[in-house]
Amino acid sequence: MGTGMVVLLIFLAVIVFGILFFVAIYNKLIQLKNRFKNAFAQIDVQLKRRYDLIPNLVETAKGYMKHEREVLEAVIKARNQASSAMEKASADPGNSEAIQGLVGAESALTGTLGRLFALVEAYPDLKANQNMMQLSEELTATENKVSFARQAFNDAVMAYNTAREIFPNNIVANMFAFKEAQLFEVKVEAEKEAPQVSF
Amino acid sequence: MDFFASQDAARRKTSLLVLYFGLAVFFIIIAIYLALTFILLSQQSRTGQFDPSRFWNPDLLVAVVSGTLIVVLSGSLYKIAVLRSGGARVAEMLGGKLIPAGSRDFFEKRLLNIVEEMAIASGVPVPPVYLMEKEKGINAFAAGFTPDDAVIGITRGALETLNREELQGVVAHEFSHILNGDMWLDLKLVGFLHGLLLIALIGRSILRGSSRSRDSKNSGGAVLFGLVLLILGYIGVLFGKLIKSGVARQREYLADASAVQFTRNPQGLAGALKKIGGLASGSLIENNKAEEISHMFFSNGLKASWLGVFSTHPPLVERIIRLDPAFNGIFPKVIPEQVSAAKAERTEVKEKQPAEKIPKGAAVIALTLLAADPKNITREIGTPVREHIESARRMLDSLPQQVREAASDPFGARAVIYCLLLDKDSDVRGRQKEHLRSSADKSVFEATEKILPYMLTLEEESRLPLMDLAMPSLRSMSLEQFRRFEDNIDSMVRIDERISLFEFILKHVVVRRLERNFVTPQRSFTVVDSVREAVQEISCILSLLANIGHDDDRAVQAFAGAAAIFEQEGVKLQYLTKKECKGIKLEDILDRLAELSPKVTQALITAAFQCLVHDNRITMKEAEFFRLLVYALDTPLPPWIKI
Repeated sequence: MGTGMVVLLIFLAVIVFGILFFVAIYNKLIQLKNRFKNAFAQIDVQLKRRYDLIPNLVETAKGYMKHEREVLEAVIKARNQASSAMEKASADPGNSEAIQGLVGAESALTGTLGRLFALVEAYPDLKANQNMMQLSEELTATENKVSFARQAFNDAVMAYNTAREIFPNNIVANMFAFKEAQLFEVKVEAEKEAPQVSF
Repeated sequence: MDFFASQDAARRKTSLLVLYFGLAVFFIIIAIYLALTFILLSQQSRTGQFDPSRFWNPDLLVAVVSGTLIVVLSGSLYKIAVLRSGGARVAEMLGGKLIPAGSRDFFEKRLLNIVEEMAIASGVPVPPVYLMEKEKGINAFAAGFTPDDAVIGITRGALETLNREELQGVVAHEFSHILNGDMWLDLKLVGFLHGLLLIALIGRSILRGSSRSRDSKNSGGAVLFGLVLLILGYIGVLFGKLIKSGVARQREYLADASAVQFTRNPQGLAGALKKIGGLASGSLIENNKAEEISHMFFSNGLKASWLGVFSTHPPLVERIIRLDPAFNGIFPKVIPEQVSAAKAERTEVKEKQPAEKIPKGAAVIALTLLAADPKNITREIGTPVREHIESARRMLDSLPQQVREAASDPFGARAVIYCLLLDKDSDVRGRQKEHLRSSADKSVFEATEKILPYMLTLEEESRLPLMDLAMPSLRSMSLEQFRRFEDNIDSMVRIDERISLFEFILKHVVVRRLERNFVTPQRSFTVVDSVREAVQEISCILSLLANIGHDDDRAVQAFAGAAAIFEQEGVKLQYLTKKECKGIKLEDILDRLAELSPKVTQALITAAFQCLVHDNRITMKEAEFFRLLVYALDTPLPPWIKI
């Protein structure tokens, strides 16, 4: 067999394996991306639940807290903002601005909720209300689920971000615009723990 | 055909496919060689003379053979490797999105319920369900390598136009693909086709490359060569598709038949098929990757092909007539499901079949087929029937709401597993709780405490199905979360310095299954085809089983009865006494047994069952050990039904 032929064959083999190698990296990145997107779906379910609970909570509180209209309205407003921010984020969890927006809205909502619960302390009747007790219990449970889902999401994002940065994955990542994903981290100190709803 | 026979048949069909595929490659090699020789000669022939002996060019032949093989094999192996990593990849490739276990959407919730019932009824882990949100047609697919990593995908259209019965028919059809080993076949098919396609793709890029370069002097040959590869590649693909659709059409009829066998309700499946006919978008899948796995769908996902031979599915009308001979060929007009009406339907179903209370705490379990002929046990495997589905639904309905809810979200699912591990002994339980308090999340510990009272009311036989139920939620943990979970399980199991059978099962099954999420399983290619190669392991497992259910003397007899099945083939098994059983490393044995071929597996299960029913009573412990064995052998055994 002529040397020309051997060279051609080797060349062919190298090209084929080169292509396969790149496709493998591409697939790996896609897989990691899908993994964190799926992880976001879990946050999404729980946050929706949270947004559904809040209006009921406010409705119950209204009957008792005649003079705290402002706070109650602030909670509803923050809830609506967070809800629309979540819709944006859930459309594309890989979009870091959308996630950033959700983080901001969530922190604001948690802040106002914290204020509401601080005020509730002053209304023993409200605290003893069956409905209120049940709602806040469920809210706590939902907070726990959110924080667990968030942890899973952040782990998945971290794995993806690391994978897209290392060589030679970064070449593929740049070629096909695998953008860096944003962690879902809550900035406000108070939200690190679930809001205190013990009463 | 029973489960093992169809698994075996699927594997045999695979070897037939390899043969077809080899033939296709052979002809492609010859064709490429001839074409290349022709191109070379035609370029030389400008000088005038023609010499037939030039057609024989060994250098060129070697080059063509090795070149083609490199391309085709790497293409196939690569694709198979990608698909092997699990059904989730296929679902994601098609734009599917995982339906979160805690979904509150009515249609999604209903689908998850149907899938859970069907999974528990057939004894496979509850598969994750993916939704193809953008697809308006009615279609579904099952993908994955084994029942363990199988997923089910479904279109939004199917979710919202089918009623519960029809949806159940579709899901049963997909489950029978899982149970018949069709996915195994599918995977190979897709892989082979990809290898052939790669030739065409290379041809196309050569064509493109040379049409760009202006150097027309040299590019003439290259263009011709590219064209030849393109044409041959596509001819190969064409033949591949013929094989694929031929195989796939038969499997569809089989899956339809099994689905009816499971649900004993041909109207459900027929109704779904009729709706496909009546719907404008039919069963069309718009995602452009659909072509590749077209044969895995419930109904034809591609635009009608001008030639029936390429269709991967039998004609709709024909499928319907097999299910409903009275069908007149006129498809009814389809109206989407109304949420309110659908909800009413569900309650109606419930009223019709009042949830019978299962008798409590009976330790003796009767089986649908009684000990009359234990050999029949393997016929039950992989073939759940209506009774199994109904009993699964009853079991699910009897679970306390709080437990059911906890199992359906990743947060609470851990609490469910922890609760299952809590010991009966109050001292040990106290220490286990202490451990959880200190090393699990505070909120998980609270959740565990909260559902514990409800967990204590559970029937013993709901414990393993509950583990299956929690599986999809547990799968959404991240690697870090899983490691912590695993550590906690491990310490809880070890706290009393002895591992009970149930603890072992839970730990073994949960950890094994979840691990596959993060590492592609290193599936060994060794298949233990003869009993002789696993005499020791089989002896161990049967001795253990005999000793669990029987006292010393009877254990020897029970073992002998089971060993007789192997003795017919001239293999002598070695009985181990209770003491000798103590030192056995069960994990290793189970791993080894997982490599058994379907035929040996069938013999082992028959023998184990023989051993189980030796004294005509099955204790809970025996039943659970038998189930562990069945889990380890990746064999879907429907749950026991008590009578």
